[in-house]
Amino acid sequence: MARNPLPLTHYEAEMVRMPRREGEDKIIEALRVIVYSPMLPQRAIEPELLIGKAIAARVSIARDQHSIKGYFFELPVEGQTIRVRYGDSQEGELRERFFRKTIRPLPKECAQ
Amino acid sequence: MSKSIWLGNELGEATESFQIGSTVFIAGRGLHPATLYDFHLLDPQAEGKKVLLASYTTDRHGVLPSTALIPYVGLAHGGDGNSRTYAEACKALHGRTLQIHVESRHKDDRDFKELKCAVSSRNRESWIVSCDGKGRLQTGIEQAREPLFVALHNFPKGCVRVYLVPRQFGWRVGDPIEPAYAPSGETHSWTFHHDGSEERLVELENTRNLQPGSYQFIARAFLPGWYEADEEHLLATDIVSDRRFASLVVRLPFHKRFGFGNGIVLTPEIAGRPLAHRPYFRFVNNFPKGTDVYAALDPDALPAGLVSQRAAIYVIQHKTSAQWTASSALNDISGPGMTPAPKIVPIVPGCVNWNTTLVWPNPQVPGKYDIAIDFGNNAADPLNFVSDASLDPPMDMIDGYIRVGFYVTDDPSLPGPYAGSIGQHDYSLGTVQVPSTDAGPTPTSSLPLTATIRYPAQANGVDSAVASGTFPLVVIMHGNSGYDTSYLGYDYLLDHLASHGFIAMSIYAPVGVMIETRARAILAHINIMSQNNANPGLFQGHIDLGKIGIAGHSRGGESVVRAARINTAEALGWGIQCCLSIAPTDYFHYGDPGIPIAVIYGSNDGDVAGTWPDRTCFNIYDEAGRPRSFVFVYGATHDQFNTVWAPTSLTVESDIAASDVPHLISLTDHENVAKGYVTAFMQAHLQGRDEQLEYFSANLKPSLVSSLQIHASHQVAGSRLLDDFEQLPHNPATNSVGGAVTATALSTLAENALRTLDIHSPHVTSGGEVAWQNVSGKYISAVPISSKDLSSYAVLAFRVTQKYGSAENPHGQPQDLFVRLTDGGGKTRAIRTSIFTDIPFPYERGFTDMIKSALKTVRIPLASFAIANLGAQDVDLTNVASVSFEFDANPTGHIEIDDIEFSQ
Repeated sequence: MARNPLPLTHYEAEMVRMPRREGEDKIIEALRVIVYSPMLPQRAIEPELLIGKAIAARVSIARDQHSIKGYFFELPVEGQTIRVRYGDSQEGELRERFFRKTIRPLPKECAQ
Repeated sequence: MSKSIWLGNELGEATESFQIGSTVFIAGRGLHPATLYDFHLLDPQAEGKKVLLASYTTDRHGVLPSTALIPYVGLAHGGDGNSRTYAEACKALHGRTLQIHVESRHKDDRDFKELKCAVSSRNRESWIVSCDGKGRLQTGIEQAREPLFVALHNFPKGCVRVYLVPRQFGWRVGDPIEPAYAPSGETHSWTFHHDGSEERLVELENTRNLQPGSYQFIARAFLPGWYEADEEHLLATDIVSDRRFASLVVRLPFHKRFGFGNGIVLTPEIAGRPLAHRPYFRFVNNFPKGTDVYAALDPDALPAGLVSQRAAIYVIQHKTSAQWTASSALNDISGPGMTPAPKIVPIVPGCVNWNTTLVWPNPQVPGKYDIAIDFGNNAADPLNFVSDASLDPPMDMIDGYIRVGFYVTDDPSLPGPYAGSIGQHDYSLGTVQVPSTDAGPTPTSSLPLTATIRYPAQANGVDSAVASGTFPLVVIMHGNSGYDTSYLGYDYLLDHLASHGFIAMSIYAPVGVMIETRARAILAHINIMSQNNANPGLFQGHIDLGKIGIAGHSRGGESVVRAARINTAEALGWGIQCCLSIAPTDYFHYGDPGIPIAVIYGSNDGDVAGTWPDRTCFNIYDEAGRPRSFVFVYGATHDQFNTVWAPTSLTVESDIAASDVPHLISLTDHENVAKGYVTAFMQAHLQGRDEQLEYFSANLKPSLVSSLQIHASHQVAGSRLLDDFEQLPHNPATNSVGGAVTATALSTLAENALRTLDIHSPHVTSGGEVAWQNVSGKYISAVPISSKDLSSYAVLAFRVTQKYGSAENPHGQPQDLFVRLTDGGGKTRAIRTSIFTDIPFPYERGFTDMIKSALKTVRIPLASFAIANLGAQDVDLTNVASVSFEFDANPTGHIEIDDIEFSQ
């Protein structure tokens, strides 16, 4: 268990198109998960975003340090916990769990 | 290093191939230092005539910084002042090779090969350009006159998002994309489907929804659902319209910018410095000696009829209004030894924006200077351009004129001449009993006499011999904390002051003692230093006891006021000439210290913040006499001016909210604020450096804090008051000297204690409250006949703030207004306040009850209203009949005002 708590408030999930690796031409569909928090500090330690045991790829903290996002190339298991952690230093878990019905499907239009 | 000059693109890459619409840059190295180079286009269609493109200078190292030479190749068409569509440009220039001839003004530097510039149509790469409805290049438009178009070239089928962003003088992958805001608060970005056509005109917006300013476009192509579509930073695949200068300048109509058919000559900001990071260039007015002066321009208004494609840049010594009246000549001083070396720059007709240009390498003479833009004979054909070396309004522009364009300074935030030879001496001389309250002599506090001193020395080191001469003394008293070492938290400031020729000491006070004890400690240590000056020892004969300055922080900041008053009341006779308070408390409201005072206060102070002791650091200023200065530092805290306190600042300062933390300035910034402003203040009052008062009175910032938002106020003695709003009973219809105050189309006009008018006011004075909801709003204050002759005064000054929480002030935007003077003969002229300073939006912090509607002074030189000016009436300053505030600059607003006066 981490030494310090990390408060998390809610999450959003949506399907996106992207290359599995940067620079690859082949485009796949992936799940983007954004987790919100009052404060997600930019630290020396890289944060991890997890759903159950699945670890998100390409994790990044928003410029305002209020959200973190990551990508899953396979859909995580239904009903798993959503966590963000900085090694064993700081960790938070959302009260709500991951459910596929919350995923926004791929858009068909050029939405603003 | 071999000498070379080359052409390059906007990414700084050397190339001889340029596509239609791109911009040709010139750069060089190994050249003669600080030397002018002329660049000519050899035009075969004009019988091989040479057309002067530009004259640029190298820096002190012989480097020619990369600078635009031919903007928008082919699109900005020479000769007739019109721009072209892409197709027209291709027809005219595709496949041609332009030759550029280089000439040096140095006699030993003549053997340059001609540079070649091969022009071709675009390949398949995507690009975006600002244009009119017919696809012709359009880089400047007047607000609300024309719709906003862009031309997209070679974008793939799919989605395209276009962002309108404030101009940066450079873009790198990863830079944040912060779209411009509409007055409604919506951001300017547009997403649409693109059918894949090679060229497409897109109408984006009516420009009435655009704020005046300088912009670039960023275009992002993506597929629906693309994972990076919403990234808020620049992607490697994003297309930027121009990376080095503005793509579009949205201007106010000329008559609106300068108002009422009057105004003064165009006075945009021009002088600045390139930065290694975004925004890559910053307009500044402080150039420490030896700092290269650059210029850049995006004028916010243009007079009708400006067709020139060349402009000459003159760096001139700042002139008084009398000198301008006598002569409009521009005498450039930017060459070696202050010799003439005006630069010629290419401009885009109808826009005049250009990228950064080195205009004065390595200036060595401190002083006040302006940069003037001379359009000369305003010839549409650059072949015929001739500079006339004269400032001719309304066409020509100047960064300066009535205000100072820029300063070359002995900068107070930089180390002084004694840096590298600073002595240190510490003493601890036992304990004395001093009164602990101002009702004294008892009760008393036990005061250990402990201090640490830095001084100009013959060599670095502890107790090193003092440098020859006598030096002013500065005594610093810390505030209260749990640390017994608080007095060691200003070593950075002591070292800095010593480097500038002060004997600077920080003195000890026990934890918990109040103001009287600290004030007595200041006086006790002055007595010790007096003895040190008189008796054999390190300091004997080296202290100028007639030149003592006292400074304090927090409780120490209040104690300097008390110490100054004790010195007078008890006739102690110490030569205390000035006092400075950093984040002072005001428990006892001692009032006027009787000597010049300056206050430095952070907008995010988390200790003396307004809830306790229900007072703020504005009290000391408001209660002081004149002269008085105030430095309000956005993002500064209470504790971080002391390096001992700084590590625990966020724990101790309980009135700093978590959401404030990202907006706080750094510890280094705090130190630089103190170093710059304390040094300037002490130099002004203890070293006879009157010019340093301009850091408080003239919008001049120490160079190391030039990127911070700092709002200075300054009020001098001997002013002639028009209205201080203190008369009782309060009556907004009359000013303090009995003149009538009349209002036109104002939604609010009130007068009262500011804390009554506004719960966010931190002031203990009364003031006026004015709000307007249309541009017809006017506030007119009559000047009685007995006060009509203002010819012996230099400025019209007033204090003003935006009222926080009013819906009439656009969120986060500076406010602006015109100030009009009308004389008894009916002659009248209005001056826009923002020419001299801004009226900022109040600093927002997590605890909203601590947000402050903080007054700052606006000082408009009276010469602005009287100097000869084409098309403007000259106000008779011996017969002034009224002062008006006219709210034509913004459709709504809500301000508080105080101390309308005429002063020096």
